[in-house]
Amino acid sequence: MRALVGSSIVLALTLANVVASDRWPQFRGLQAGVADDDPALPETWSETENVAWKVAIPGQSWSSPVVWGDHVFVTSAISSGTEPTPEKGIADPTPEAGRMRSAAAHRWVVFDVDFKTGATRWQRELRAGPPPINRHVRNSYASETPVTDGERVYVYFGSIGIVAAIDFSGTVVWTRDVGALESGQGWGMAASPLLYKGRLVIVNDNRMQSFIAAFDATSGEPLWRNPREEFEGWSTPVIWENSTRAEIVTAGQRRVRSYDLDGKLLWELSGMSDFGSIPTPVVRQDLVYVSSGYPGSARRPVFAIRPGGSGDISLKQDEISNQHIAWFQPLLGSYQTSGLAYGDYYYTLLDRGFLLCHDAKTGKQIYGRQRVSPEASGFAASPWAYNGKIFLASEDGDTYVLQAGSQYKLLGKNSLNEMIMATPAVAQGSLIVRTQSKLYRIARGSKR
Amino acid sequence: MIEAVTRVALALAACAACVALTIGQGLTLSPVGAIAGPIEMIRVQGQRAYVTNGATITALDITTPATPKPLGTYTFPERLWGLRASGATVFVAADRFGVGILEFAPNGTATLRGSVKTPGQAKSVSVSGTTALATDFVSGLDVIDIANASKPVVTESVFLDGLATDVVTSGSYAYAADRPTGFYVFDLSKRMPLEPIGSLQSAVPNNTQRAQLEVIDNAGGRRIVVLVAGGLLQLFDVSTPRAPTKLPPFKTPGNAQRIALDGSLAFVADGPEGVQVVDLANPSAPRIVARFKTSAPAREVAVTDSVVFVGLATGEVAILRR
Repeated sequence: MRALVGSSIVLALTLANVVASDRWPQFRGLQAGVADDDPALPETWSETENVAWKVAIPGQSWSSPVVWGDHVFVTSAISSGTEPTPEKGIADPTPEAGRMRSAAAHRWVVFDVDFKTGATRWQRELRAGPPPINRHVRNSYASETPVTDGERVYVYFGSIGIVAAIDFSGTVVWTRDVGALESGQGWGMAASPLLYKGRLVIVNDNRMQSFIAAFDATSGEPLWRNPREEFEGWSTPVIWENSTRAEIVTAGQRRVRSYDLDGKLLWELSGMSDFGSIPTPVVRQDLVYVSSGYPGSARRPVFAIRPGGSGDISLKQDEISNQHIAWFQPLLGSYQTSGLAYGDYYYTLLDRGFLLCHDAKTGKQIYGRQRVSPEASGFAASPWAYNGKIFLASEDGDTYVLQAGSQYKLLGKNSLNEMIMATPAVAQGSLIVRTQSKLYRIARGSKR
Repeated sequence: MIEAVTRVALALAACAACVALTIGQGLTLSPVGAIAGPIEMIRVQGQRAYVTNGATITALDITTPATPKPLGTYTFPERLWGLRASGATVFVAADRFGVGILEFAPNGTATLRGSVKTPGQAKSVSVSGTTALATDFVSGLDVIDIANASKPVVTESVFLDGLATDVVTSGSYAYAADRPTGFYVFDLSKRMPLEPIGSLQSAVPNNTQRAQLEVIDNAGGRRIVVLVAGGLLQLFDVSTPRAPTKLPPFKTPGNAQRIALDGSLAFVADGPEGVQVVDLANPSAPRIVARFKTSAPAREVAVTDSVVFVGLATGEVAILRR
């Protein structure tokens, strides 16, 4: 008992010592890709310059790293066979273009990497066997980013239907089997779990029975589970703490939906792109930005939504705003990358390598399409920002650095020469970048 | 990939149930041979036909059209989506490989003279003088200087709002289509940067990989661009390039997949309905003048003065005498 109390005190002290800039606990961090300014953060790097460490991560996974204190967590699906090389660029929507099933046995593994050294503190295998569902050749069987509260890391592997909590020593606290469900076109899963005030929320849109479900983070007990009328989707749900309430916002193909913390539908919105949604909604104070946009779709919307909605808040024909929608752009949405609200502006990185800037409050265009680089194969990682700079990581492994603000200005390019689709994490003066096979900690003044 | 063995007897047998109809113009189609598949695309240039399967292209001698003879093959690293022939030179759009410039010598030897990687996936290519234009899913429409064929260079790219699917050139003009519905006109004599001088939204949903554009320079005195997409023919009057107009789409009996032009006659690979020959001399009122029901759905077509090559869903090519 005394030991328990002692460890609890240690844990409490540990948590108290972890300040916001020390952690990046979920996909895109706590501010939708925006990190607190820190002059120690790097703005230039290469495979050797400003590299504190780089380590190989086996398998294939496009999930992002998350950070808490001295812990960097990553997931992977490690095949015993040879998997096809992920394709760069925009995927064709035809069924034969991309859908695949690996027959090789995989291991679904969580890694705890030491922030200081890059050494693997522990790795925990949650399941082994052949994948039960298909995936797109550009997807992976471990694309969901874990989330942590400083006590445990929570993981969701949609490809095997497993939700799990693992403590910081690597002990599996609980697991739940929610079923491995085939996505609409067999392109696999990617929506990351959401953690908020003791609730772990997952969304799984599939061809069988789409659902949103919540679990008690401590025990893993199911709290609620509601069906969704969806077919496929890869967008991570977000929590929106606005002036009215806290709500869970999800971007679906058919509808954007918001739920209260008990799973009750608060409002919904139609008009999304006619391919499943990938971008994660962006919360910025009293607006949440929701978007989707397959380039071959006639609808590629961005909606800026105000708090307080109920029922159907969809725009009527020819409307561009209403009581609950502050602004709407019909053809602005990107396909895979999420938006970035930074300073006074809302930035859109199109997968095809263009950056656009709009006034975050009004939706007025500040600058139109600016081609980031004629050489880039495409962009899948979401943009991030700090120190007045915007960072755009291309699938080629090049990160373009731009000046934030009303003028488009490219400042430089940092190359790691390996495919990037995972969005990096930012914490403790470091950038944690995951490439196809490696994990880097980029920090000023480091050299290898 | 193919042995390109003509099999007249087989074709005749396969087409025993085929039906040829002539409607008004004295044009009849009758089977005279076949090419073993699998074959995806067919283009004809003079006495040669070029056929593709996956990443491989084969040149055929069609001096005797009913009995094509294979000349040579070349295999690219990536799948071929687009193909245009000019003399002995063939331009291909080869997905992530980019654009390739290939030459077949008289003895059939194929030589890759040059290539250039486009940023994403090259889907189609067309040539005007020393300029090639390629549609690419990432960059849009790439302008490629091919003055030195051994070192083609992408000089600029034009963003197209959707996914760029096909481009065709005629004279100093180029026409491009994107998915889902965009249609663009470019004046290649006014460049740097190249920008559309006209654009329209098509009534035809361009929701397939195989959208195709072709140009009729004189259809009743008008210049017409035909877009094949969504099982329909969308006709654009581009006589005034800066102000293209959309004519009513034409629905064939089947499911239009591809076309080949001979003057203002459009030979349409019409899916389950075989081949339709559509007279576009009056583009405001297209009319079917002949049809031929193939033994399997028609998905590709090419035409010479004397024969029609019809790619079938089985992968085989039926050769029809016209």
